[in-house]
Amino acid sequence: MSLKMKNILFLSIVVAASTLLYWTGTFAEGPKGREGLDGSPALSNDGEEIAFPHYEDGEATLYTAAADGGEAEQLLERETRQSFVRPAYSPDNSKLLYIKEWRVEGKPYSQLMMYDFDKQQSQPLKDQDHYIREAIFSPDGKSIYLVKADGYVDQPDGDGVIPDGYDVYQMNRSTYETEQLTNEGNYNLSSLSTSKKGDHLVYSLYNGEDLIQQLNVNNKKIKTIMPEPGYESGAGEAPIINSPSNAPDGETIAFSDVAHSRDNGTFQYEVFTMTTEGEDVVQVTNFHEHVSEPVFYPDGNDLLVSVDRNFAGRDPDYEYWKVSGDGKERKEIIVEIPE
Amino acid sequence: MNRMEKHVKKILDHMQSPPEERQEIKDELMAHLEEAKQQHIKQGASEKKAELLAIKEFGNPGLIGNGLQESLYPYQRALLYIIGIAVLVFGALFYISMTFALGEAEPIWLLVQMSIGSAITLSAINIAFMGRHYWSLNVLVLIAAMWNGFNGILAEQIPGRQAIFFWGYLVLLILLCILFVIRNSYYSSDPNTTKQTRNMIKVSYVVNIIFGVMICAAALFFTYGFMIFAGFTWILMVPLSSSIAWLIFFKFQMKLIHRHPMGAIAVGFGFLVFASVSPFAILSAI
Repeated sequence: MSLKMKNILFLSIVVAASTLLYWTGTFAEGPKGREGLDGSPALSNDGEEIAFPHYEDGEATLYTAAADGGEAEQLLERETRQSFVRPAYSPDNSKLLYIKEWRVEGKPYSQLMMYDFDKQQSQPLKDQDHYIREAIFSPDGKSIYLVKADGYVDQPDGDGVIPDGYDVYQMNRSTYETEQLTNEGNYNLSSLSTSKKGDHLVYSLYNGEDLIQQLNVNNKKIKTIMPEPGYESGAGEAPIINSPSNAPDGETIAFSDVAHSRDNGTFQYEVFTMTTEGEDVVQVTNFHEHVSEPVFYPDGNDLLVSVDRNFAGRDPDYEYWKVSGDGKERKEIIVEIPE
Repeated sequence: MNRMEKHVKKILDHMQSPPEERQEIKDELMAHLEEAKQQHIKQGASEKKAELLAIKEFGNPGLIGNGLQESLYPYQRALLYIIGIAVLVFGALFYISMTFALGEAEPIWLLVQMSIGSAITLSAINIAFMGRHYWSLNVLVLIAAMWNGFNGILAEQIPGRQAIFFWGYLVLLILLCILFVIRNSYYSSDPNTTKQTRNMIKVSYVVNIIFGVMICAAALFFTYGFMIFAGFTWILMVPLSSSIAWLIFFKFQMKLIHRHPMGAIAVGFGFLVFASVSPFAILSAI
């Protein structure tokens, strides 16, 4: 065979093989969006029901289910390119706050919404000009505490913008007047919770280190609550504390921190409890996974926690578990999502 | 061109010899054929029949050409074939994996991968033309090594043991590329020099190519870092320019290595320092 023929034959084979590969690739399904439970369930104030977001192809809607599991009930119809997340019950469990999220050309938007269980309908509580990350009712139900950004900054990779400068605000439910309670301007402020008494709010932020802040709602004073000096985090020198939650009596705080590491160096987070003075730190869970978002049951002892079985993976894979305060008993809350 | 010249050309098509060496081999082969032809004429054959008999007795041009190529440049053509086909096979396997495991078909990536693999395999097929352009062949194989180094970063997305298989495959492929470049550079030196000088040239090539690998690996590392934090922007050209500069520098360095092998190590080290520092200087000036 001549050299020319060899060249033509080789190039023909490569072009045919490449075309075949490309054609075969057209049969593959495109990347699917996130699927499954989200890691921020809300527990009703009587401890009987949970509300949670569930993702299908990257979009979440809200469901409710009995607190010990079973078939879930879809609360809101799915909307294209919109997600409904961060549910929070009203004190009388008749209403549910949630955040509606969507993106337009790389810019994230959100809107604070409230679902009325009696009327079975939602209404917006804020316009779309504010980026609100999460919201909770005050214990008396008269106001809403919310975490709101003061603007946007460019993404570090140049791909759109992200909200920045979060602070805690209080909105009067009758007048809709909103008052700024903190002056943190922090990009990572989150996990707002309050006690039954309602005189303090607890949240976390990152300010060079992860901190738990306790805000006195009356005098606006902020106290930093960190585990006692003898406490040793699995993260090394400084703990990586997140998702703090106030107990109903306001005396105990549950939080998530690194407890162990996998062989490949990935951190494993567990839930701990401590007093509001940072004393008596107790490790409650021992899943050797990523455990976060603790929520106290009304008895102030048991905890609802979210366990991510695919932490550091492409998409999270959450499960909900009920864990006793001493960590000795635990039970998975298995919810069945209707077709 | 008569029959015997065509036959010799077919033999030479399998050899990467540079022009002077090529002419020498051509003259020698023609002399053998001419002698055989004259022998047949003396035995009573016509000129045309004598030529045909001489060619027939001389043997298959492919076998002779490959034999001469292997005796002068052992394993070089086979290495090129292995690298080229390995790049093509990786392209097919990785594309299928990306498409069906990740659900992300990347036709542009496939085009680049298949183009690089084809260019190297075509160089092996057309060794008579490409083989004598030592620097160009080195650049082609080094680009294949760098591109497949980048593929190692992409392989991180592939789940489970597939990623380990792809990493192992790529490490072997890159090592083969480096081995080829070192040997190809060495064969570009004058075979008539002393054994000691050729050994010094060999050492100088190994050290200089290690410097080049260091520059290219650092450039890939920073390019990947910039891609994560800044996306596809012009700033990617800053680390990549170090690799491009080294590839151009290596053309002149090959000449220097042949003249002053030990001095070329010092010059190569100086360039390594320059190529390492200048991207940071450019970025800080911006």
